[in-house]
Amino acid sequence: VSDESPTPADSAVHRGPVVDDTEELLRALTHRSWYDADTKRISSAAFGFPQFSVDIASIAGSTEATLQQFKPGTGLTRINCGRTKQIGCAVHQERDDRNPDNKAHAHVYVPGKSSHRKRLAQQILSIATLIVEPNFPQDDEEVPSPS
Amino acid sequence: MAVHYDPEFVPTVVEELRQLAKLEKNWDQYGAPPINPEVIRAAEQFVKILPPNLVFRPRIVPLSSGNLQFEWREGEKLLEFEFESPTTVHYLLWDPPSKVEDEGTFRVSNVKAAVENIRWFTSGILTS
Repeated sequence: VSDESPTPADSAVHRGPVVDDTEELLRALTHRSWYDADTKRISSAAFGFPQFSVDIASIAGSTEATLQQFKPGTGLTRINCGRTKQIGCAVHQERDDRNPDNKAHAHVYVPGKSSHRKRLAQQILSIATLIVEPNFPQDDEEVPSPS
Repeated sequence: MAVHYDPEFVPTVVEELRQLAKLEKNWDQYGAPPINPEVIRAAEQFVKILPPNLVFRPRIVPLSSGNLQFEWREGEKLLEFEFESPTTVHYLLWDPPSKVEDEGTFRVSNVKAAVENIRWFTSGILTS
């Protein structure tokens, strides 16, 4: 596959229902390195390419309901669906292969080509709001905290 | 020219990279594969060939793709080196106040390109 191949955001194959612009999307910060507590910055690593999983907040019901799917200490960030689409992403409510009972699950498909993906990740970061700061237990230390 | 004296730069970064090899499948809770050992080795070689005292240590961040990236940030200014394969670094120069939003790739062995990007980042933020 060419590095310049269009991502799934450019195609329309076998997608679930489009998520409404008014919805808020919850993305978990599932690894300690994805958030810098010193600078209060989220890493672009939290928003994978060419797609990443989110929960639709109105269906999830609460931030706690989303966080219960993950290890203690996992953080949470929120992005507005309409603004995510303005960047060019597609958002579809789809099955969560990791947790098939999660009806709130959706995929955000990042548009464009690999040569633009890091700039797009920054644009997504710019509309993300941190709502739960990650706070992983010290004994959950798989990787030393970055310098 | 700006420098950042840090004789522990290489051993510390190499140790952090080796810790990434301990991440097991699903380390990101979203089903990520382990970090590619060849990418870790490439990143180790990369830091060893950089000129000394060039910049402070990066944050070393594992990616759900099984790759990893170095991140340097100072205020709004950001430099990312993503090791997207054992041979290729995908870089991002990001400084919206200065209207710099550039990305591209260079070979891991291309020290000149790496140094140019790092010097862009350190310009104006490090003092001798």
